[in-house]
Amino acid sequence: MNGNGWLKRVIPVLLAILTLYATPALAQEAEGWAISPGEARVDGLLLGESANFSVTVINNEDSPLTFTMSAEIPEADKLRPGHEPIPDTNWITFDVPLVELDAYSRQEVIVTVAIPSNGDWGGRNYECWLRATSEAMGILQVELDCRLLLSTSAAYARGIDWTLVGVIAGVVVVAVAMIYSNRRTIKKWAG
Amino acid sequence: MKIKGLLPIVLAAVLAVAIPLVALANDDATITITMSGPAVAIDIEVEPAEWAIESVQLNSSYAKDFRLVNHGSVRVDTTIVGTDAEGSGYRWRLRAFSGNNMYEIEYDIEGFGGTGNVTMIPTDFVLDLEGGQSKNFSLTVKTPSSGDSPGGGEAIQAIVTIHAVQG
Repeated sequence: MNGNGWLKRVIPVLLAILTLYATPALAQEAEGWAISPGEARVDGLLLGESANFSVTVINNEDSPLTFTMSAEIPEADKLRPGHEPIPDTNWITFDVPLVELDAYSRQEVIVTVAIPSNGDWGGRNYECWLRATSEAMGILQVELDCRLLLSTSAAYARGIDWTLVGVIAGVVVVAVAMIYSNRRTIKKWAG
Repeated sequence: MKIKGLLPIVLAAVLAVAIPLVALANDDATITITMSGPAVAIDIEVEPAEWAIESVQLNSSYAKDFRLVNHGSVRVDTTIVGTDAEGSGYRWRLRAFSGNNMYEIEYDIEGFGGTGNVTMIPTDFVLDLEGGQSKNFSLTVKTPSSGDSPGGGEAIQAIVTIHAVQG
């Protein structure tokens, strides 16, 4: 056997050994599905305003999967410290509520958080869970959540209409100024 | 006299405009959106992913072993919840014991993970599962001791949901 013949026999054997060891590792990484990020934070949202961000659903399986997106109210004992459950899951909408993913693919889902303009929602820290639910496989089903931590702006917390306050203050000052500048006339009139 | 009277009015007008302007400046507060990063994903897997029980009969027990794997990089907490089992025209209620048209599902987590019944209220399951770790568990379905049973080829549907969130 010359040098080249020896190599021709050894290389396939080495490749076979590498394949045998590499396959389980690849399989380990290529299974399951995921949601990212695990936690999202939206700070300073004003009443009557909305904010958008995205979560990604990832299918690492070798077959297509379907997921349902939903917003869920967490149980009180599962909340992050200093947060309260979101009062209404209707504040949260998904641009794609039903995600159909091919094998080894991913999709971004745009999440919109909209705070109603009326109500005592300002200056609060809310928590909501953005849930992706897989279709049931026999009797088994998996749900994965992204924690959404939402803080609303304190500027509207008291529900004060500052434009109205400004107008009233202006009117009061003008009235006081007019009374002051015409105090002699008023005194005379009052007699 | 005219100037003296005009000055407070001008001041008042300035004040009236200034207050709403300050308020508007307040309204321009920045909305900050922070994500925990694309590398941070909630990525758990139940192996095997599917459990279909064939030829279900009354007063029987069906068990299977599973592995819960956290493929992600963050610690996760999980809960488990079940549903009633629905057949065509009848229902098995999920309870902590099996009886007439009542069935139960037990879980057993390896080590000190604990055992218990799957209920229709989410119950803490595997907690503090670190990234890259896994935990073995088993599920046992105990069918009703008496009541309605599925006929040949008929399906009865129940769902056990494992839910995970960043710890």
